[in-house]
Amino acid sequence: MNTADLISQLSQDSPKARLRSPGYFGCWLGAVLVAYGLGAQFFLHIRPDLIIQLTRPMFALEIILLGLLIITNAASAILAMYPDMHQKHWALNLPYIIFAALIAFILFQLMMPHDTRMVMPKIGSHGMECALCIASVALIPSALIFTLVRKGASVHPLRAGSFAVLAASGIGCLTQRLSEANDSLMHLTQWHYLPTLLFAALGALIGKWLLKW
Amino acid sequence: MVTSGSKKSDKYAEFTTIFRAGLAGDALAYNHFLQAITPILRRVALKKLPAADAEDALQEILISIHKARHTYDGERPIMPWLLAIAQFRINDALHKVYAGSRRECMNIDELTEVLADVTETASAKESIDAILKDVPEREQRILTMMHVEGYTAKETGQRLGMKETAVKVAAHRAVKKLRETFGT
Repeated sequence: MNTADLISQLSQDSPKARLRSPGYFGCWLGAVLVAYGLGAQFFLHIRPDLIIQLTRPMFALEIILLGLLIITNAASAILAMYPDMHQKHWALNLPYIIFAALIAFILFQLMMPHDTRMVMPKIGSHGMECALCIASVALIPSALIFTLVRKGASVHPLRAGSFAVLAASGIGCLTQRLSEANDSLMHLTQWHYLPTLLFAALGALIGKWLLKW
Repeated sequence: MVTSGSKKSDKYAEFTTIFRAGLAGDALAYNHFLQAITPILRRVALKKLPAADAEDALQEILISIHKARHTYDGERPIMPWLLAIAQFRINDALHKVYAGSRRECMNIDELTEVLADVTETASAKESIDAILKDVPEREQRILTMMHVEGYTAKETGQRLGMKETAVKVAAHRAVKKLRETFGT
């Protein structure tokens, strides 16, 4: 078929419903993720010392960074639905900046000599369960964000996939952090943040396959 | 005076207008839009791809623009949106081109001329000349014709004005002399 015939054929096709604005999707996804996060938190329960922990700047900062991680990744996943990122390319770098800040924050705490949070986990204490719990919590939001992104036409499927999974894993991390009374940085690094990084890499691979159009 | 920059932006504004009309259901406007952007997209494709693949890539880009038309709202500049899709499909086409070139194999028949040239290289001829330097000139010629140039004894005799048997005897003597020289 030559190009002129193709153009004639495409012109005959009926118009498609226009995709709504990123603001609309952002509000909708934000509401759904908050509701889901609250539900997951209710199911996992809240740690008994949460109020005390929230008065500690380090814990509060970690929670804020996790919240920002969820918001920036969800926003970037929504922008990635549009081929031109809705002409807000700068926003797609925010998740990386927040994740790097979170890693830097963890490393900074690891270097502190007498941080009471820097305790080694007890022998026989759980580890893998945390990663599995984060993955379980992240499963539904991941599927939801992927479904949403598939409505668009992403030209960065790898990045969009990693944003989707990172936003969902962020919810898993946050709910787990608010429910588990274990502040060992070794444990957090090994069983919370490293698995999250792996999930993001997995999300990128899934995105490449699932977000084809 | 109208500058080239403002002319370009006017053209792009026109693209936006007709594209919006097309998205609203005006098939003719949509046809005009696709026709108007085709030369621009063709130039973009030709910059990155071989001419043979550029037209296929252009059609892929047009189909992708059609598929992704719902992601454009008509409020933001259209060219970044168009070029993002074009670049995405050109990258796909480049992957195919490179993957194809890795799998491509050459038929041995296509190398016939090249291989013939290899046998005629100066270095090969020089080494044969060095071997034949102690052999009389007429026998050198016979050996060259029969063992390098591929003539039969009969053809060699015809070209040198000798009988076939005489050629064979001369060739045999020359080979014997060479064997003695090299001790084989």
